[in-house]
Amino acid sequence: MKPEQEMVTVYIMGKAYQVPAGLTIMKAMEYAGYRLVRGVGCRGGFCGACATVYRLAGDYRLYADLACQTTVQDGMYIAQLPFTPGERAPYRLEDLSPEENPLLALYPEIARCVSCNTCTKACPQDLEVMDYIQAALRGDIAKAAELSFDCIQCGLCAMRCPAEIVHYHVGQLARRLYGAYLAPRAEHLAKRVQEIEQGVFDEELDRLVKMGREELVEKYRARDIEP
Amino acid sequence: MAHELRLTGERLTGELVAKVEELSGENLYACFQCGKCSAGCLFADHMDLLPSQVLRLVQLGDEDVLSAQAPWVCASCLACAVRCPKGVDIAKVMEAIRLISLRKGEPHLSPRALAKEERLPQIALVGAFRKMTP
Amino acid sequence: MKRIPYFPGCGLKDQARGFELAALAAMERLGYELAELPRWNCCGTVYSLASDDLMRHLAPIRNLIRVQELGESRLVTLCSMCFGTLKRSAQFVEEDSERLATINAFMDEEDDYQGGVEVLHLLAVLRDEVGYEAIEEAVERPLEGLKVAPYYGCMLLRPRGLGVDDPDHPRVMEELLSALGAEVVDHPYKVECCGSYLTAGRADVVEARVAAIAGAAVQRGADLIATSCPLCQFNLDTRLSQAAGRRGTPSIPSVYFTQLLALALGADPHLGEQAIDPRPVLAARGFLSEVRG
Ligand code: SF4
Ligand code: SF4
Ligand code: SF4
Ligand code: SF4
Ligand code: FES
Repeated sequence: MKPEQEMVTVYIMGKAYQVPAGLTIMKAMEYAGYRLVRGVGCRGGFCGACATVYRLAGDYRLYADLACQTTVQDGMYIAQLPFTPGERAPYRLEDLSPEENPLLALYPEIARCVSCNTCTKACPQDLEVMDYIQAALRGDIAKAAELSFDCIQCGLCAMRCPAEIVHYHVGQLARRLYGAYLAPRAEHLAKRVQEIEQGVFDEELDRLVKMGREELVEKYRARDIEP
Repeated sequence: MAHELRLTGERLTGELVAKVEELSGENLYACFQCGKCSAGCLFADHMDLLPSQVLRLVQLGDEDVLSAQAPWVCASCLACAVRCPKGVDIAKVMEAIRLISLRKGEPHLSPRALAKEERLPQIALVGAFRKMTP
Repeated sequence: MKRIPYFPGCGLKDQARGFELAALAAMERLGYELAELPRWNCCGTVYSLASDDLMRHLAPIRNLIRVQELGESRLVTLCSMCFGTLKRSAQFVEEDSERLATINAFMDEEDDYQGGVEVLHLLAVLRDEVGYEAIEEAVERPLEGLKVAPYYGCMLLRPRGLGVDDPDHPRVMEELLSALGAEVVDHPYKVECCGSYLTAGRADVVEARVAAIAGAAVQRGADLIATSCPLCQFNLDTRLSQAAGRRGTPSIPSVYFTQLLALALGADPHLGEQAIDPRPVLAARGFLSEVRG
């Protein structure tokens, strides 16, 4: 690093480090010498492995965010939460009936929600987490699925919830139920599967398999691309 | 619950009385033990102590009341509260005793075990968990 | 069409759909739209009886903030439990500005609750705003010959001063049922607790309670019990049906008061969710020829 680079002080697990401004929390930790084995994955804000909590100097709030997506600030107190213990209820999707509110049956602790909204405030994906738990409580699977759609299972909500709910498992089951029972069936897909089974495309496929490399590349380049 | 009443000045000014008064917001010594609350409590026959006895033990600062089952059988129906001639809301006293235990982290109901058995209305679960899980 | 902001509560979106659907249909006939809050959460039942348990008031107060956001100042509920919880929490913060300030400070992402939202139960709206005369006029099929035992339970009436009516001698359900043409069967258990949330874990206690309540209604010749709470209904219906076989307890169907209202006004009563089916007795009394649940 160039000496004139602006540095900030961050506290990682209570120990002070000088790190270049502009780094993400994740890079700052690596700069400080941490070798991340857990608590890191995609580095792109998608996998949810890098849940982190922090406080800022002079601010009472406990912030929660993804280490790979959040820039360090001077005076930041950081602790990573590489893993959230949370048991997924055992179930077989085909045994569940969306009419009988399986979300509440399998995760009855959602009835302990006090609507404090702490989960929503903690969510790095800016989801309305409380609202999806509330939808689950009243048996609205479609809404719970929709509101939790972008959940990356980082676990930050669950770490902050005074009702000890494991939100992401509830959301995941809602989406599974939605997909299995409630989403409108893709009829064109069924039709296509049938066509494949009937051998409608066998001939075309055979041709492709036998094609030489060059012809294949050419065909690939000339393919239709959906806008 | 067989009971030996031990009355000491220490107990009367002790922590239990203060704590229950604070949590319930009720004047415990307004109760003159007429027993109307117990007479009207529909759940008294499932309780180990009558509501008026619960109150009496608290008045006497007797910590044994904290291990009584009565507060966990109380349905917060408020029948006692509307009929007490002294305006004591016993339901709040029951709540205070439940909270002393819950705030120590002691559960009195297991959500997962309960939900396995049958499908209950939300009100039953939300209500019961609020009253019986820490 | 008059609009009143309306809080359904979780139960009415699940096992007690008939309670809501019948109410919406009936109120429409009376010229009222129950306008569901665009965003709401569990009311936070059962009302916390402790002086310091502020966290338990977040749920109800958050709902009242939703009313405030609409620029409205009142909220109607159908469920007695929601009614009791929302109304008492409103009062809990109203009587102590420090409590309200703490709650507002905690809910930093919401507008502050200013106070002043009035929580109503539909029974009170029918009595005080719609009026029994208007209801009588709108009745298409008077419930003549139908003997109905009203059941209030707890949270509609208690504590004193906060309920919809006198806690010892309520009249509101009787008056409504009379306006619908039904024969009211009075009984001493109408204000006695059904066992409430003890149904979670202590079904035995609840079964004893509902057997006594149902017994009193049956003894006095009632065809049906009218309820106003999904929990009372569950206990009087499902729990009673479970107890009946074992102890030879009397069996009597329970329906929501809104279902009787809908029936009398010629709207769909949305029956069919009950464990003890009310349709046979209604059909026997000649009330279910056109409308099927
Ligand atoms: S809902 Fe919870 S687990 Fe999912 S992304 Fe938000 S905070 Fe993470
Ligand atoms: S943090 Fe827990 S209790 Fe609070 S709103 Fe979210 S789910 Fe409910
Ligand atoms: S009714 Fe009131 S005064 Fe009488 S014993 Fe009960 S609490 Fe005490
Ligand atoms: S509130 Fe509790 S103690 Fe009082 S009458 Fe009801 S069940 Fe009994
Ligand atoms: S490493 Fe995957 S979200 Fe941060």
